[in-house]
Amino acid sequence: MSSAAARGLAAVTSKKVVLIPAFNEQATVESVISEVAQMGLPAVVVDDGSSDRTAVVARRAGATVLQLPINLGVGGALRCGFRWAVANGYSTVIQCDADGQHDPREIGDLITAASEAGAHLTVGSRFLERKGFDSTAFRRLAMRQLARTASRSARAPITDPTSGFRVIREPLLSQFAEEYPTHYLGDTFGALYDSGRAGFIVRETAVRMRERAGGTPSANTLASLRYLLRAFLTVALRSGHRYSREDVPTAEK
Amino acid sequence: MEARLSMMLCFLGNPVLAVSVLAFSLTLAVLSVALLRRGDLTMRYALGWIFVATCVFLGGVFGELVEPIASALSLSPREFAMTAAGCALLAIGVQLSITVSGLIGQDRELAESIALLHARIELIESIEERGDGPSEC
Repeated sequence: MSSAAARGLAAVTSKKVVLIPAFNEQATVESVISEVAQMGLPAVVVDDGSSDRTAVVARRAGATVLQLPINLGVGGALRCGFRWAVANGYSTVIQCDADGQHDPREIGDLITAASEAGAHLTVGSRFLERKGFDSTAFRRLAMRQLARTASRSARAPITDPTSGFRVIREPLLSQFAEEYPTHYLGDTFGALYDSGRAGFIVRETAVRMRERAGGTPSANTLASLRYLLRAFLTVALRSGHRYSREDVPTAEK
Repeated sequence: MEARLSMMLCFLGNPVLAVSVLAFSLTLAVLSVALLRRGDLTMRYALGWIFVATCVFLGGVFGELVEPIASALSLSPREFAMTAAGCALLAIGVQLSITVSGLIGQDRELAESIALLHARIELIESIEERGDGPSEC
């Protein structure tokens, strides 16, 4: 993290929280929380109906834990976290995976990029500088199609619309707390697309992704083909939520 | 009765099929009413299933009753009955999809509220344990 980013982070730490949706991530969630704490930020873990000790481990690591009684999927877990953040007076949420792929040390740069662009939604991109990420041809093709559509809605270049490493700021945060897409790709691509369409400022900045520290990736050819088909269907049939433009400051529309 | 049975068998052209249709429609209707009375089925769905049973029964057993409508649509009584029953099944399916989609949303809302309330209780308990005053929760 750059020194400017560190200064920016320290200045308004009290209004920011790192939101970590977790489903059966007992092996990795503790180290993610501890890395977030090293950045001087509070962490809230949404345990999405895990059958393992994710909630216990997260609590022990010092995070606030929202424990969902059933598995709602990432979209449901995120909306719960957004609701909690808004209710507790946070104006900026940094969304970060619990499997260790997202490096909390990049949070400072993400926040700086969000502040400099005045963005409501800032996505950490794996592809902007092509650091540390590889995938199958099918998956890359799907990503390209999603990226094209996302860029059109955001009126800015977006290379990684499915990245879950994001910064969400008010007034978009309150909109997400009210309504957040939960359908397939809705929590990543759908939310980005809808935000752009509603006039919120959506930007992207380069981040380095790490290898997953736990869990099982679904990157074989069949899974990638399935992903490709579902991605195209998602783009074609997009039936997203429509966020209100009323809260978007006029100058930023 | 004998004449009716004979007509029925004649209409379906297959005694086993005739008895099966009769048994199926009666069972479906009786089951729907029983489930409705026990409160295991709402009136909306009970009426839907009774409609399906009635279509199958009328078309299969009293074919001549629906013949005028069926011939107006260039269908045989049996085809008409099956089409009507199929449409009713489709309507019930669509209605069920809408209901289940609504329930999923309610489920999500409920689960989130439980998680948020639980976190709030934990915070209040930890404040009480420390002996502090009330804070954000």
